[in-house]
Amino acid sequence: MLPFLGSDSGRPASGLQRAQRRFIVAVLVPIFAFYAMYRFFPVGYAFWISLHEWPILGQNPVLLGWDNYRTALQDPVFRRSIGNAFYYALGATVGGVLVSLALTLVINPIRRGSLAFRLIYFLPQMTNGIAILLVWRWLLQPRFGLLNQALVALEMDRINFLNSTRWTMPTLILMSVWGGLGFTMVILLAGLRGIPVEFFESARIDGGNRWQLTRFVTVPMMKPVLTFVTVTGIIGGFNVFGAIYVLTRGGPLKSTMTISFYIFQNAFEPGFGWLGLASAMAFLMFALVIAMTVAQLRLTRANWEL
Amino acid sequence: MAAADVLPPARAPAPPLGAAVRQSLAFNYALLSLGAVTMLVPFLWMLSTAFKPQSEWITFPPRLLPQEPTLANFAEAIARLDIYRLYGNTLFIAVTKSCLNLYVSCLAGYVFGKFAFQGRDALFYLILATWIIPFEVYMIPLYLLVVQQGMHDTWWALIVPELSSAYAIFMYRQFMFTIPNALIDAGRIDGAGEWYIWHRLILPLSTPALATLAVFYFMWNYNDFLWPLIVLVTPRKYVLSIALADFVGENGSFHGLIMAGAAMASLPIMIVFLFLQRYITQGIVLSGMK
Repeated sequence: MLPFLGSDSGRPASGLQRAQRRFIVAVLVPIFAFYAMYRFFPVGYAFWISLHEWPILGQNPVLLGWDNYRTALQDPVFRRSIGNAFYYALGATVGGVLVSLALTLVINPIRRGSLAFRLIYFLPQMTNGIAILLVWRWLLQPRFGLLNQALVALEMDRINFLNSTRWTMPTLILMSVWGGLGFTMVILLAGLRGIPVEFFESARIDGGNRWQLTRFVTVPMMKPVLTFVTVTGIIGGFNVFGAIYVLTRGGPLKSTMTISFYIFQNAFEPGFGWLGLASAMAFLMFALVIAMTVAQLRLTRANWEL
Repeated sequence: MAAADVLPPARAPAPPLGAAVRQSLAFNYALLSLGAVTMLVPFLWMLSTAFKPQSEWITFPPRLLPQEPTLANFAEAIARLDIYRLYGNTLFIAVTKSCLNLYVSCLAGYVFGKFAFQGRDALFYLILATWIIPFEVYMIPLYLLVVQQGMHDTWWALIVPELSSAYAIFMYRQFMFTIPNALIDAGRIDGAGEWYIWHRLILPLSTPALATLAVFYFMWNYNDFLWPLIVLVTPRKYVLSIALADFVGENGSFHGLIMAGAAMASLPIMIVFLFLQRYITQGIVLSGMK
């Protein structure tokens, strides 16, 4: 049995000890049974699957060894999907953080209406994400969408926003920036307001103007929180799925094929069903996520305590 | 519902009131308003199109206000989407999942935060490690498991694999550090059993943390897309997200109809969240600033 030390430094009676031990066991045994069955086992099983040719229907799996990994790494679409996922994650995160930072700096000194603005920026977070995608689909419609009508009014050429190898990815990135602003602003604003006021006072005494205060005090002091939102944003953006599934399905010409959608497609779309190959791709993705997480822990260790 | 309650007061330089400062605040307001318009236009256009009859969906130049506003799109979207059933399904699943997950995860967070036993930290980090595993890695075996356990195409498949999550355990354990041990020991000295302490002492004390986590989990579960897409087959069992994705596939260019569906999927939840906004803000700040 687990030797029990007691929740305070005193010497609890042994009857109490036994009751607490029973409680701990009663809580943790079912919870570990859950994690064993629905997390640890599936991860191990996924690795086993990734070593097989494992069709979703019908035939028995055939052991292949590392062939699926080789196939994945040699697949130009898979390589492209990693590049696209990075492009999307980096673009959406860096763009989103920059715009959010500007808006945070602008909204901070404001008193009247501050809450209303923050709520408006937060609106996309408070709705169903797929509904938002449908609205964008209509706004970006190639002939009659509001944006193309605006372009025509400005005597510019129409853009086929969601079906163009040149414009579709930047469009998806801008949609993500639009949708995530409010969320990032909340974090940045909390970080900004956590800066000790003395820093601003001494900088003002030294004759700094508002721009210099922002440039040399506020932004450098926000570096930890900026790093945090950037790295977590990149990891989060890396597995974008909904927008790709609903709006582009990886097209045109695989220009918006991302790793998450490609894994889904290989595993579950009609005509695919290659569970082994999809699992191998998922493990390659896992390796990238681990690398990014390690980078995050290194970069944010100073303000992240477990 | 003031977010100002949650965030510490603004401590950026308090500018002396003068013409120059007022001018620069005017710039702030101008920029924020420009941003706010950008945020609102998609929602306004969604509503505008939803209320337009088919003849007005496409006009040159586009008009914000419908000439002859109609509810026909809504009536048709309600019928075709079976929207009340979808609301019921989505609400039931999101609430059930969130409540069960939080009860189980918070219980674990309490044990990890307030009890000392051998191997505690190792066990905790073992669970925490599952946090970084991308869903793509275990969704395929999870699918096979769910099929094998007979949960395929049932709501069990949505609920059971999400009975606990590392994030909730982690956040609740952090919150436990703010509750004094002496309080728990006082309960024990008064003869309360461990389950009694958890239900009658710890749970009521952690209402703020629970509310924040509950709103977060409800928001995530409401938006859940990939997993329901994989395991649900029968349209009668669908949740809003996947029903909408199907809906747009079937009615591609019926823009008013699709916008009515989007409006009905997004507006009710938006209104609920406007009232719960304080908890959302709190949760973001907590998870972002630890």
